Amino acid sequence: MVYLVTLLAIAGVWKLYPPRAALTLLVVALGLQVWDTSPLWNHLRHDALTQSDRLADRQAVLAAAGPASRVNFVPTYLCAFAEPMNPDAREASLAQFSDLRVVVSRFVRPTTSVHNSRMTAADIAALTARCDGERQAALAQLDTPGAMTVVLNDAPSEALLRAALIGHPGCSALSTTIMCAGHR
Amino acid sequence: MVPDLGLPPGTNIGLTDSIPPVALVAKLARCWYGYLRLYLSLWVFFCYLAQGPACAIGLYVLGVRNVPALSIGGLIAVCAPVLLFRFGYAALCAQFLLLLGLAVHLQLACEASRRVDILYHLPRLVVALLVHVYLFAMMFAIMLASLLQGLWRERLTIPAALAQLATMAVLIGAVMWACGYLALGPIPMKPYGPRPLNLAAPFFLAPSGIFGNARLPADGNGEDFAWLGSGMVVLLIATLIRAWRQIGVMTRAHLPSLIVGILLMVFAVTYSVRIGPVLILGIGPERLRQAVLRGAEHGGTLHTLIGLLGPMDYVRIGLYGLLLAGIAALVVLRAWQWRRARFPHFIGFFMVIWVVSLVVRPSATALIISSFQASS
Repeated sequence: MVYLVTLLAIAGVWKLYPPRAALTLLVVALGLQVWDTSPLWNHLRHDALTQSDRLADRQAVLAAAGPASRVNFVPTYLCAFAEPMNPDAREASLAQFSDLRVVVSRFVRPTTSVHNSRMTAADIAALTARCDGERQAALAQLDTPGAMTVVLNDAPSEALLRAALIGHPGCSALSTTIMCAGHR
Repeated sequence: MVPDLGLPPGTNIGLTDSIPPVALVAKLARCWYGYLRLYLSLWVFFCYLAQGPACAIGLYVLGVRNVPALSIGGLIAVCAPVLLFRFGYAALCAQFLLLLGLAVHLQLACEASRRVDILYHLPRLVVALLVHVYLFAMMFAIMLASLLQGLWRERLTIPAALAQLATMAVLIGAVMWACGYLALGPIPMKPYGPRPLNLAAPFFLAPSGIFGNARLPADGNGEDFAWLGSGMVVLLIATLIRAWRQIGVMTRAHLPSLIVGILLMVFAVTYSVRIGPVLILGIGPERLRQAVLRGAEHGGTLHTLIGLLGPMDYVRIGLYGLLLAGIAALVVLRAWQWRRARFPHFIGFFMVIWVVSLVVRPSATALIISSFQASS
């Protein structure tokens, strides 16, 4: 409807006013539109300039993901929604998670976590139960040759797991994750 | 489509925001350029680039032939707040598809068009489906408006309309099947409706550089953001000042398109209509949420929902249904009065099919409503 109104209003001005007056009106409208949308343009510019390459552990993740045959994220993208966090912290955590997924995606390895815009969690209790199973499955593969396991620091539910993995052979603590590489 | 990615059951590639057609191009380009990790950025850039020409095409169809006017119109469309607000959401930046769809609709609806062929919408419908289902739903509504307009003006016969719809259904169904749209898994569907659409959103001044509010209000709902922009409001007022006497004639000529638009707005508002805290129409969001969540384990969403509803719920659902049906009935009655026989016959035919589908497979209606509501 917004775009239909846009088309009809612009064409209407052109047809209903003399050409010179219509062009003047269109130029004035364009100026107003640019001025009015300046906060959105600023937001766009800010996002475009700050979103690239923000992952702190990028090199370490790349080095580990290259030889891996699969990458298991704990929690998965969907399970990250079940984490007991305030919305802003969850947003930041998911953004970091997305960066991790983008970094490992270049190796085209199977992962346990795929972004899906409709898969947002609605039933946290059911999801938590499901995530427990997924965590166990990832843990079972911890030492499987070729498996890379990435446990996010921001996920409160994984605190015990992180503590247990600190001393585990093949695991190392990075600034945002605990990363484990199964021995080949 | 890519089993090694380990997609959970029920995932469909059309909702992964990966823009499959562009991903395919990036994958092919990998042979020459290596890993093309920036393909989503290139896609967003393309979306912004295509917005202006798409608007200019729409304006051309409406009779604007002046190059400076077309250029300025295109630039105004690039400065559409609804586009800029979606920056970062790569799939929903493809709003040029809507402008192209509207251009096709306006071409088919114009006086000079002797024959209406809604198959012209097919390529955009398929592309929209592969970009995001929300865009597909909007494109589908535009196609529906073209179809109803063709029947209204008697430039499209009912057999031709059915044949074209069947062709589209086969092709789109094949794409949906390939993308996993038809493979419903145990993933709980997101219940829609708790965030009502603000019908005044096109005139809601936020964020706006002119009015000094740089952000949405803290309690604002980004999903209903639809501010036209000050420049567009000026143009709209200028048009209405000169054209208000013609509104009646235009309404009569384009009644089906107008009604499709109004129905979309009513449908998109919410399934839960309130006055203050009092629920007056539809179903309470919590009831639906519970039904969706328990549905997978207890015989389906609709089955669970029916068990949760009380007498007052049925009254409110009935009233909401009456409101939607009343709008549709108004058009059908007008068609009958103005001797537009094809239109009510076609609507009647589909009402029969819908009733049969409700009897045979009621969950199909619930699924379609759930999938399409938030897209309107």
